[in-house]
Amino acid sequence: MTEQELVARARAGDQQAFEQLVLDNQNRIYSLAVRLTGDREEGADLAQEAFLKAWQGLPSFQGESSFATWVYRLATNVCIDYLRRQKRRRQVESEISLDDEEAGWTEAADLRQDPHRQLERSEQGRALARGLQALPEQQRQILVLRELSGLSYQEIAQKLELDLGTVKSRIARARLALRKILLADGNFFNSPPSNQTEKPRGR
Amino acid sequence: MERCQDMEVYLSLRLDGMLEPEQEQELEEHLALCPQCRRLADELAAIHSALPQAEELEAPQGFAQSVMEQVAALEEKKPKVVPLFRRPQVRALMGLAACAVLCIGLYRGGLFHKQADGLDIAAYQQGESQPTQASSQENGKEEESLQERALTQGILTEESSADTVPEETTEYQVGVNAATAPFSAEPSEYKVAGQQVCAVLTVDALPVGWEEILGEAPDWLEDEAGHACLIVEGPQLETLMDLVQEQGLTSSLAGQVNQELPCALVVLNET
Repeated sequence: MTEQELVARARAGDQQAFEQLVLDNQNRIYSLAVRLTGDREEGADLAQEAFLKAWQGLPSFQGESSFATWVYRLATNVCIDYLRRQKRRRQVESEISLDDEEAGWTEAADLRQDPHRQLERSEQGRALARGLQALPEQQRQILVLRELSGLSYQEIAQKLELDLGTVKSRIARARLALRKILLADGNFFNSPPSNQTEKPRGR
Repeated sequence: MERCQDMEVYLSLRLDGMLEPEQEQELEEHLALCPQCRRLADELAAIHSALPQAEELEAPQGFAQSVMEQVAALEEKKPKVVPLFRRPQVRALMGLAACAVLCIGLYRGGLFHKQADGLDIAAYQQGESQPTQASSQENGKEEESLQERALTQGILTEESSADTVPEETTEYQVGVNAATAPFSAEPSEYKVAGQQVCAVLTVDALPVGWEEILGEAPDWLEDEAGHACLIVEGPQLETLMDLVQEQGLTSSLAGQVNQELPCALVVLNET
C-alpha cells in the first residue's frame, strides 16, 4: 500500500493504516528528536507526541507534501517547543555555555546498532551519525534544523529566538566542527562515497 | 589567516545559497589563491550533501505500539458529535417526559371515567373554534390546560376585581360540582359552531325535562366535531346543569357561566 493510500485510510479513522505510517517513519522521527534534544528518552517522548499530533491533524492534512515531510515538520516543531522550554529553564546555564565549542559529548556505546543492519548501511552514514552525536548541543541542533529539517536561516532565527548573524555564524561553526570530528574519525573522507543519490532536503 | 576565517563563514553561506553576489566574488578570488580553503570548500560540500543520509537511530522497541495505545485512548476520550435529539441522555429524558404525559393523561382519564362513567366528552379550547373530540387520554391533557387557564383567570379575577373566586373554580372546570360552582363575571372566549360563548356544557344525553327549559324545538346547530349543539342563555344553562346533576348524568363544563352572555350546550349522543 502506498503512503497516499495509507494516509487516506488513516484519515478515515483506520488506526491500522496509521500504525503502518508510524512504523514507516518512526526511525527518522525518533532520530530527529534525539538529535535535537540530545536525549534518547526525551526524544522518544517527543517523537510520540509528534505522531499523536499527526493523528489529530490528519483531517486538516491536505497532502500538499508527503506524509513523511509533514510529520518531519511536526516533529521539528514539537522539538523546538521543547527546546524553548528547556532554554527558559536553563537560561543562566545556557548563556554561559552558549558558544562552548567543547565537544566531549559522546554516547558511543549507546549508538551501537544491530550488526546486520549496520552492514547494510554505508560507512559514511554511520560516521555522520557519530559526528552529529559528538557535536556540542547547540551546534547539533542548528545543523539538524538546517540540514535535516530544511528550515531557512530566517525560520531558525525566529524559532530559536536568535538574530540572523548568530544563525549564520553558528551554522558555519557547526559545519567546521563536524568536519573536524569527521576528519578525526577517519571513516567519512576516506571511505568511498555512499549512495549519493541525494534525498530531498527537509523531508 | 583572518581572511580564511571570514571565508569559512562564506563557504557555509554559499552551501545554503545565502551569499551576496559581492561576497561570492570575494570568495572566488580568495579560493583562487588559497589551496587550504579550496580543500575546506570540498569537504564542507561533501558533508552538506551526505548529511541527509546520516544513519538513523532505531526507535525503541514498542514505539509504534505505544503511539497507537495513545491514539486509541485519545479516540475513546473524544466526544462524539451527536445531534442533541439523538443523544442518549436527551432521548431518555424525552422518553421520561412522554411517560409522564402518558401517566398524567391516564390518571386524569381514569379520574374522568370514574366520574363520567366512561363517557367521551368533547373539550373546547379557549379562543379556538375547533372543538377537540379526543380519546380520554387526550381529554385528560385538555382538561389540565383548561384547568390552568381557569386558575389564571381566577387569580386575575381575585386581583383585579371585588369578585372573589373561591378555590372550587378549578374543580368546577372538570364539571363535577356544577351546581355549587360560583359564577364569575369574567367573559370567556369559547367558540362553538362559530359563536363566541362564555361557557360550554357538554352532556352525554339531554336530561329529562330539557324541553321545559329550551323549548320543544330549539335551534339545533352542529359543532365542528359534528355534535348537536345549542346556543343558550346563562340562566338556561344553569337550570340544565341542575337537571343533569339531579339525574346523575355525565357532564362537563368548560368556562364560566355568565348570566348576560351566551353559553353553549353540546350533546354527544343525540337520541
